Amino acid sequence: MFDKKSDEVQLLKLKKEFELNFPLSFKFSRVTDIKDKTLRLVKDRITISSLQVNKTIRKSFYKEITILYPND
Amino acid sequence: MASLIISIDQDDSTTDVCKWLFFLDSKFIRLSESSIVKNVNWGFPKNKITIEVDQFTLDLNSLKSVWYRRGNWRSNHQEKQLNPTALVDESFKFLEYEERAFKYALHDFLKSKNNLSNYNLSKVNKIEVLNLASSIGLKIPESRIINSKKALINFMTDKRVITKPLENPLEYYADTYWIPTYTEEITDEMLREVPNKFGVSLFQELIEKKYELRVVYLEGDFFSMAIFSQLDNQTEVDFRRYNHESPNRNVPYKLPIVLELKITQLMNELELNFGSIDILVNCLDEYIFLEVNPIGQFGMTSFPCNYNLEKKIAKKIIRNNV
Repeated sequence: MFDKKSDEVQLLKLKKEFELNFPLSFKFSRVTDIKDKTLRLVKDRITISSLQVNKTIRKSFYKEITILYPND
Repeated sequence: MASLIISIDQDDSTTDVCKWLFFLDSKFIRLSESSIVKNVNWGFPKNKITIEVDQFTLDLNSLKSVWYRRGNWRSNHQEKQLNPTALVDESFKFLEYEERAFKYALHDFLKSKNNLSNYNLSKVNKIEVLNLASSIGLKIPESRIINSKKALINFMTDKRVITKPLENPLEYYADTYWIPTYTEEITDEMLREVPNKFGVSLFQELIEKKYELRVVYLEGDFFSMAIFSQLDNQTEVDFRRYNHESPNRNVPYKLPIVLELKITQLMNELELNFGSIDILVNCLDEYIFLEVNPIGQFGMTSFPCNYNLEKKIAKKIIRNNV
């Protein structure tokens, strides 16, 4: 359903052809990879990792974190 | 009578509150963008309103407790692809205005209930809020709304400058990518790319911060969190550029009482009983108010600081239903 290449081209075109319309924050926006789909689902909870607690405890708190930190 | 919750399907925080409502054995109806209003019957002047949404028939008159979190319900539309002509465009514009008027009126009616937030108050204007905050005595960043490179260069002569949207960021989420409109510092390199004229844009002085605060305001109570985002280049200007390898440190924080009083005044003037507020603390230990988001996230503050806001909100919804 989504096509990254086509969206990148479309975004560039929009920026170029409507330069006078869009604010500068739009000019500097870019297509950005989401590391993992889970990231979006847990974005509210990701900050649990910000407690910088022991990684093992972090994992036991939220098993989703294991997906976000595959190298743990 | 069950409480009414209006949110979007993918809002995890709403789901967490609903889990508490289940646990506390309190009935509720959750509507979202996938809820379709099939029938409406609204009589004037007695204001007898029933709407049929999904499988529920809601008698809005007997409803006591409403939590507006995010989003809205949908009208029962026929979906067909039409070639875009001037008439088609205008007809759909007409339809949009009609719907907007209906939704506004309905949410205005819901204001008479025991509310936690309201759709009609969920969109605040950043500039209006900044001016109001300043008039109340809150410090705000020096800001400019301009549309030319010349004016931008002039604004940048003695300071570092950021730009951000005047309203909401672009919200385009695809399956494995998205297009964020972050708060961006205008660097010299970026300035070279800036055309002589551009769309009307908001610029603000970049505050050299010690740390930033995310404050959840809930009916006069404050739940604040300090985010030490300035120590990481990736999160320095916008902490939403999360560094998952080395996350920012987040800790509970107590605001000075004078600041709480000013924010309470601001929220009262905006008629908001809930909001997520962004504040920076600069190197002189001054508190710089940035913005308030009436439908802002609270899970990101609740979880790291153990504030248990989900339970607190559930209890408010129940109390509002008595």
